[in-house]
Amino acid sequence: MSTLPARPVETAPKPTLRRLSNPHHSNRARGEPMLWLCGGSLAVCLLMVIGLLVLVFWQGIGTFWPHPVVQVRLADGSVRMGEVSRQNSFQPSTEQLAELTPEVRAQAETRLVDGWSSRRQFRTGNFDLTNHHYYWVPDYLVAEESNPEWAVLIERQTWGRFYGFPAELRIDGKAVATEPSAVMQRLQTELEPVLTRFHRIEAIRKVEIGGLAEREEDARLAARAAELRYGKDSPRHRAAVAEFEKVAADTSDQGARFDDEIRELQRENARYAVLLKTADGAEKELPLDAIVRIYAPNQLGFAGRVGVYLDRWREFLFDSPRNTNQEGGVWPAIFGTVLMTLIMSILVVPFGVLAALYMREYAKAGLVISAVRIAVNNLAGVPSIVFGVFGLGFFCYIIGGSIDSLFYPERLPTPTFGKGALIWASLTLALLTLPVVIVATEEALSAVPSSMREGSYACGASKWQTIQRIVLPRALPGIMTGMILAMARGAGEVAPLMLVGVVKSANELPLDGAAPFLHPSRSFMHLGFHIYDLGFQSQNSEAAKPTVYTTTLLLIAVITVLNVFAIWLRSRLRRRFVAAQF
Amino acid sequence: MSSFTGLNRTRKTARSVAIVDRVSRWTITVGGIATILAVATVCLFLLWVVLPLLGGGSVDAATTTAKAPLGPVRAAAEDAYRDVAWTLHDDGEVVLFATADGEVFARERVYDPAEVRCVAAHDDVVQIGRNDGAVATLRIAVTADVLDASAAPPALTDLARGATRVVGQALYQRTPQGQLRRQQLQIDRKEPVQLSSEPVLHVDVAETSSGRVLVGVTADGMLHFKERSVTTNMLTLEETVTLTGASVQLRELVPDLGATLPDHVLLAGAGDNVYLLWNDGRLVRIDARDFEAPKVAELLDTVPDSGQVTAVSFLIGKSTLLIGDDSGTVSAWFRIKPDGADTIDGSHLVRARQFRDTSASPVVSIDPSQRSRLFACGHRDGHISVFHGTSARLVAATTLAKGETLELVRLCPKEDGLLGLGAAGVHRWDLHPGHPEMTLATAFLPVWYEGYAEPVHAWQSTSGSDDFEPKFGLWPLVFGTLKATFYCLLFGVPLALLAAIYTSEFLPPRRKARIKPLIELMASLPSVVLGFLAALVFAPIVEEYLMALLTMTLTVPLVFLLGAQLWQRIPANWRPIADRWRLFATLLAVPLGLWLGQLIGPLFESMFFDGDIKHWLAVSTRDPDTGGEGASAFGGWFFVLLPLAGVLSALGITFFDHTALGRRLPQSGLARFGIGAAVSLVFAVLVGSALTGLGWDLRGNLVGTFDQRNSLVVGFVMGFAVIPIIYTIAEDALSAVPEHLRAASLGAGATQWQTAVRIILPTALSGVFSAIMIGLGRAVGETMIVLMAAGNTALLDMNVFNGFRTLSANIATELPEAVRDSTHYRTLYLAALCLFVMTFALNTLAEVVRQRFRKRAFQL
Repeated sequence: MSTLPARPVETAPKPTLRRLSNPHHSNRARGEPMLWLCGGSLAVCLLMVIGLLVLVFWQGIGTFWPHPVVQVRLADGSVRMGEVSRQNSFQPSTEQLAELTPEVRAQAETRLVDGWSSRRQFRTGNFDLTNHHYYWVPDYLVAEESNPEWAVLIERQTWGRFYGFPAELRIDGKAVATEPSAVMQRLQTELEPVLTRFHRIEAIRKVEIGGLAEREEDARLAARAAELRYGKDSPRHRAAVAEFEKVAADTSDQGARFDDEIRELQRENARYAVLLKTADGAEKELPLDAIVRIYAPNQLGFAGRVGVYLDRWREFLFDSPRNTNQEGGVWPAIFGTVLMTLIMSILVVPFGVLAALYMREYAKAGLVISAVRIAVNNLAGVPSIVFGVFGLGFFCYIIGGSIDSLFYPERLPTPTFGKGALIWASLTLALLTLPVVIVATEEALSAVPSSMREGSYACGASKWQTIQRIVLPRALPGIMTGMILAMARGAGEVAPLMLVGVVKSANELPLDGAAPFLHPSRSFMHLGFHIYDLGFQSQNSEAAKPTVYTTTLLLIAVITVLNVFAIWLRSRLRRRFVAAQF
Repeated sequence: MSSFTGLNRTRKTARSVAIVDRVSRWTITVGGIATILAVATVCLFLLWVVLPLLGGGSVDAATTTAKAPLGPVRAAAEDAYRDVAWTLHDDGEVVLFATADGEVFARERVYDPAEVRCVAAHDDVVQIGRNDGAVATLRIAVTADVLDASAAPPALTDLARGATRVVGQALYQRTPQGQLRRQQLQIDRKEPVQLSSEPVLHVDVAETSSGRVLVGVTADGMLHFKERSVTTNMLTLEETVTLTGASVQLRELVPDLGATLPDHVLLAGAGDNVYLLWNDGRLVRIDARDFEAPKVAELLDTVPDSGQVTAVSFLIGKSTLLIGDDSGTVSAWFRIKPDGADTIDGSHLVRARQFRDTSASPVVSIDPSQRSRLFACGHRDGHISVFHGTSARLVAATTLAKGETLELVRLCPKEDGLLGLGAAGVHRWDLHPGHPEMTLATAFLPVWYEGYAEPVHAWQSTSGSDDFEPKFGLWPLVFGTLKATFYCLLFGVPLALLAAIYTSEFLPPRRKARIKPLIELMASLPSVVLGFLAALVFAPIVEEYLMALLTMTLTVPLVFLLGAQLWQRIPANWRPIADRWRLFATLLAVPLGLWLGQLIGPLFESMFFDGDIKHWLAVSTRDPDTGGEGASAFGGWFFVLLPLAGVLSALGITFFDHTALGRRLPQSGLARFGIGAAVSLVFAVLVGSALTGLGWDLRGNLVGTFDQRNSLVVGFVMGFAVIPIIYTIAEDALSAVPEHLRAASLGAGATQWQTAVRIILPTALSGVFSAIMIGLGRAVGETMIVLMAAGNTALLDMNVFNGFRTLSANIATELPEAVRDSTHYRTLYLAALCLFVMTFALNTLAEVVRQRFRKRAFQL
């Protein structure tokens, strides 16, 4: 090797330092605009979820808060009194302004800002007198505004709320108190016994008279059953008919006694009435037993408001609905939802676990099982309404119909099981959620390391012993997750239930004190359907909206709790198995 | 067997353990298979309910009762219980006989054949045109009444249940319930109507809403109208009967009448049209809305070539004319009102369909059903076929013994039997029509319903009127389902996928662990809640702030893009910190975009949409009512083209980046953004004006009249239901791409974004695809949201601003009211089956693709 010929330095080729990218090209490589679009999409999704939850929470939580009662005198002299329920700004049209008298109009125009004005929606109640629940009052029309001290709000058994002033308390048509304060004071003492009597009447109607009717119906059905089984005019039939007549006579006697008692109580209650004046001067006499709650909002302190608020929540959670579901509580719906979901879980878990155990532990892995697995997975994506259709045709009509003709022929043509019923709804939802449980259980089973199974076999355990003592305990949290997810899905489904047993209002709960305690053939109420019914079937959906929000909040709360629990369980389960992996 | 250690230790499994093991094996196997089978039943059961819909009807073997030759018969009918039947003979005698043994037990002469010129029978009403110019109307009925035990004749006390016996002029039957039912002949005679003094050749009657119209032709060639209308005084409930009439000479009315008088005269059900039909097929339609001045509306030839008309009848409702000819074909004709009809009443009589069975012998008798569009058609050679008038389906067919000719065929009142009068006697068949109005074709293809100008898709399961024909076309519902799915995915897929990419690739793990469950929580929101919010909260908001909301779809992305430009200016050493806060920045950008949209929305509205977009949507330039004077179509085009142009120019700038043109562009990001925006604007304006200039308008197809319950709202709210599903599955797929791919790409110098788009996304593509498919499946079956927010009108247009009716919502509203096992019920099951098949196919596709993806991801 010889020395390299020396080269002049200046002729040496410059190392070409190609810039990999200019700063703007690197900007492109970073794709910032696309990143922003991606991040923005995520932000939109998050805001949608949070916004929706906040909206429902805010509207739902505020429904029962007692607001002060505001009285406004409008420019045309009319008076509106009620709670302010909404507020926004609007642009009055020229026609609206043209309707006003010139001086009012001139005044109004000075109060408009760029043609905009704010307005408030007053919940004025008194639907029986005015045919309105709500009024919009533009601010430019308000001449005078006050919070009258003695304005009272009355929640009534029928016709919704009443806003007015107490004028007189009447007993036997004679005024015993005429000053608002005196009336309210006297009311506190008189209302209690009246309401006690009112509830007694309700109880007699429902429990005692209902029981009588049931006894009579049972006897009639027994007679009919005897006729069907032993033939008309057979000795047994005659005996049953005689028994029925005896029972009928007996119940009508007792019924008459109860009717007397009711009449007595009603007569006593009818003595009490309160005379009310509305804000625009109309008078209305209200019997005391039509009052559910009465209070003077403008006199309530914070504690008083909280008291009313909590009392309304209590009523909402634990009472039955009244006034075509628009007021009162949702207890039957809560009860129906929970009971249906429980029965569904009891049905779905054993079968789901059996199927998963079979597919994972017993069946030979092959084409058939993986096809079945795909099919089961896919069933989770089949629309719930399809299951409802199946439930109606198969459970209600075919199975229920067969049960009716076999066991309840005396009740036909009135169906007992051959219609929508709690048991069919639970079964339908069990079928709907079965894939969820199967998939979750299978996942949990496959998460159990096979080394543990092999260890168990090596110790001489049989297959069932291995499953029972090694596999199932480790898979249990996963199975629980599946069950809870199934419950969450089941509790929120409404579409299939509309076909297989949910009703607008059910007189009887499906679980009560009368034997056999659980009545699987009864229809039931459901929170989800309650929302649908209130929002869409009631004649005044605007008035029902607050209640719908609260019901929605309740339903979301139930489902969210179930879901959060499942998610928490899942993450715990995963952590545990990451640790258990070896 | 000895062990290899040589020690022969025996280990026996305890008996109890072995038994428990076997029992559990059996329980699990049987229980598991049974559960899987139970799940499979769902599909099989749906099929089992649907199948009878597609199977045809059937006819049982004939029973022949009376063997004796009957002689010519004018009319015949069987009663609803199918125990007795009557025949009206040429000599004017009505004969009542038991169908079981043919025993005749009542006869009554109803007219003297010498006085009578023509007899026209429809069901049980017989019109008799007499030689003295009067028309007599008879009702021949078989009454059935249940007798008290005391009123029963003594001879019947020993009658067994189910048995029948004739006593006197009545047939008694002991029903299975033990009651005694008596059936006897009853003939009501109505007062004759005098048309003229000439013999009556033809007569027909129609019961209209106001009364009764009678039309007749007498031997002197006069056409007579008589109307008997009854008006009720609303206060006194007194009824006033008015008789009006008019006559016209046929030869004056129809100049080219020909040599002979018509062979058939028929009056349409509304009493407004008279059809004169000759046996050679010539038909004259007379517009008789005002029968003081009837006019010829149309002249037609109903039978091809030299064919002869051999039988004529109306379908139920007397609107569709059935004409049977000597080649064995029956054709159905009805009036339609097409656009641009040149007749005096603006309508045309058209041949809607033809019915043909195997027999080529002349049609001798056509009998329409009294309860549906079924009709029986008898051929001279003894072949009888039963067709359905709308679906054109051959429901059932049967044939008499060879050589016996057929005279008359009748459908029983309950459509459960056929009565055929042949040369050898009376034949009876049991008929099971099944569900004749439904075929796969009527469910999914356009059907030409009576009175419609052309075949249409229609779903109309119930209606107030009696003559109403239910329309079970599923296509509008399928279309509604697809429309909902389309708009939902249009909104949901981009959001969910972009969000998934960001979550998987750009979020720190700890933040991801918090954000992902939050979005998954959205999946468990009950759809009834979403539906309620959609209909009662969002729909009113959309109605009030439509323009602002539409503008927001432009301004929110725009703000994101602007934000990105600002973000790029952040100095390089701040970037790692800045990147962590990008999500917060975008969270802030959303309200900014919304505010901007709300700000410039009204501006857009006054610039492009005449200040009121809802009004703009409602008037189309194509609308003939506004004479093409509606607002310019430009605004709509501009609005749709702008985002499109934005995407195009972004792609264009990227594409031209490396070319000479690209290098000459300014290199600053903000300047390029400006150029892109300007190019998009110019593009949108130019193309928009060009399209407007061509006279094209978005209104009328993609957009149109605004409705509060519309696809926009449903698409948005259904996005809530679909986004979390797509998001979760897509994110799982992206995260499942092996880490070493990501590491290799980043190590080779690629940026995070390049890695995400060129490495991760292509690898996870099948997983992402299956995510979209599963989201699609969910959207297809969603019920409560569409039920509450979609308006539920079965429409067939793509307009974003109006509603639709989906398969699922339709099932939810109609199934509770549908009568079990009726056609309606089974059709709803067919709808459910459609849904099942659609979602099952989508999910299977997704699952198969996903499994492929999993395999591939493991291989990498």
